[in-house]
Amino acid sequence: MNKIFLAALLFVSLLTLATPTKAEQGSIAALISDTSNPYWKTLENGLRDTANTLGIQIDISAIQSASDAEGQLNQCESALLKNPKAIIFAAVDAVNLGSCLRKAAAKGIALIDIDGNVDQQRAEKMGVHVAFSVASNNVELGEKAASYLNGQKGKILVIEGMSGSQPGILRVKGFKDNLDKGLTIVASQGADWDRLKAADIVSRIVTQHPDLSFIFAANDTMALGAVEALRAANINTVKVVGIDGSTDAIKAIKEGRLTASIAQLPYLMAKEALEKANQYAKDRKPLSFEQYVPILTLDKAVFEKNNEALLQYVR
Amino acid sequence: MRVYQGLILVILLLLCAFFAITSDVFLTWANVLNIFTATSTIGLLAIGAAFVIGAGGLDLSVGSLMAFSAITGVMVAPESSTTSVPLILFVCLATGLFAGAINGSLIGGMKLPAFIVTLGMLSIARGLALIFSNGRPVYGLPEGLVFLGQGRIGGVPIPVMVFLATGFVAHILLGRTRFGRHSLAIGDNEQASCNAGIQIFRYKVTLYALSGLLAAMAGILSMSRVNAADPSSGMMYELTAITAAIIGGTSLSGGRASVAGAMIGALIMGVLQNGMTLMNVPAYYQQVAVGIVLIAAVTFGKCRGVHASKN
Repeated sequence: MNKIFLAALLFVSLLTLATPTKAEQGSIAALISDTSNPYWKTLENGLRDTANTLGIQIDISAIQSASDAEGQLNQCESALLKNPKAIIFAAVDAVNLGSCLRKAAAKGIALIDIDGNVDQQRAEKMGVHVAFSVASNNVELGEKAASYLNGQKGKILVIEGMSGSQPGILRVKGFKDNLDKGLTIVASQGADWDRLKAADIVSRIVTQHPDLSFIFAANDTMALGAVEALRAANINTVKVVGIDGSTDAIKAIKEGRLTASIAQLPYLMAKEALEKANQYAKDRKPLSFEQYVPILTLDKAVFEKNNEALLQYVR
Repeated sequence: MRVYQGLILVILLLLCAFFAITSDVFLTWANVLNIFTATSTIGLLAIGAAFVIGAGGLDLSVGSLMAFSAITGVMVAPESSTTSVPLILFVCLATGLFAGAINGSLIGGMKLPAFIVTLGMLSIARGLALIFSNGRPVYGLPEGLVFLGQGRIGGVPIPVMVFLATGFVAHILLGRTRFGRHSLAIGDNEQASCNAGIQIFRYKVTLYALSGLLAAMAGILSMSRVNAADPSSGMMYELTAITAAIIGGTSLSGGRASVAGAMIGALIMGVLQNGMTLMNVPAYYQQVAVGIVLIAAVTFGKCRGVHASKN
């Protein structure tokens, strides 16, 4: 057995030595998160379609669970071998790709963040220069949610995301800072991005505050949890606003269950990231770090009018 | 058994040949090192799985133990002191060993089913990892620790050396020592082994402790590679490791196991993942491919009597 094993190793290493390294020039690599999540699936489609339009080769690697930091590092190492002119990456966390991106930077490969998961200062400290970041502005997502409710009066419940999650914190901050005086926040609680936890919070709060008028949730999953809890409690006077513009949320808005969602546009995000990355790889003209992607407030009226240009990017 | 292992080695080489034809970077030295590095974590878990499953048991807790031991290690260490790296390593390994020993004592002492005990431990260890870390990854590990995951000696990444060296020792332990023979005897027929005077309890504690220790080693490699200890890392790794061990000829009903086979099994999965990524195959298809290889391998094995069910 040992002999067979050793022979195999020898065989592989011999083949290795015999094969010359060839690199595909001019492709772009994209490292994205878990495509069983519709958000990332849409973003993947956006990347593929845009690459076709631009006539460039794109190699997309997706991980199998959103927390698989090591798997993503492995994919980054593989991507590097093809010598791409740019890497568009949505890192699992702030540092997992550090060692790979450092090698990429040394090779002069342009590094572009997508979805805003990178900490620019930490990256620079690790010797990784990220050219720019194409993402939704989380503060703006919160602000738009507040704008949607402003002008009305009543009590609001705020459902926050995972404690410590940066996007969650910024969305809630944007919302609270931009909220009119006429609207009173009666509670602000974290539901860890989870549907069931959000539903539990809502069930609790509506018993405590039967006169609740609005619920703002930092993502659609929690907003839809809130909608279910309201339905179970037989309440139909509370308006619920979420964030993300997920497929489920759009369906719920059209059916009148969810009031509104402030949509991120992953398809457009992918399109802009790839176009800008392609341009930057060519001319290396510096862009400002934060490249924000437009966002869109979705409610029933928007779908009925159907004249919003950005609607074409809602999938 | 030997015929079977020759066979899966051929499958591995055929896969390599296929990917070498489809991608011109597949068979470069850099990529081969990538494959071995990427396989090292799962490979260590698969070695543990070969021991435990070969002895008629099962350890579902290893993925959680990876995260739990890593988090425990970095949480107890004083921030960036000179002694922190050995301390982190010691605490990590001790945590894995201890948690594994608890698994083993419950299974061996209380005669509880391994599936249930380790399923419980899967949940307990994951929960504790989340509690200790407050649900947040710990970023920025000490330099010395990061070197273990990212460093190279003589051009070879350290995780690869750890994987191969551990595999070598484990292969001898399982195949050439009394400990290995007795472990497989327990897997083959526990009652007969007991009658023959093998101390089942002691063996089970040792086997599960070994599995926990290997999980802790995998946890150390994993966190040092990505420079962060993440309480949600290693999810579902136990299933990938069991898959690798079974592809490698370990019989799920016990009595037969091979460390080298488990390592080849892990490499097959690593090669599949690497090759398909290079070929730009969408992630969904990769999961289908892994499932097909598992079922195909067991089908071949059954014909050769490796995966035959006990009668």
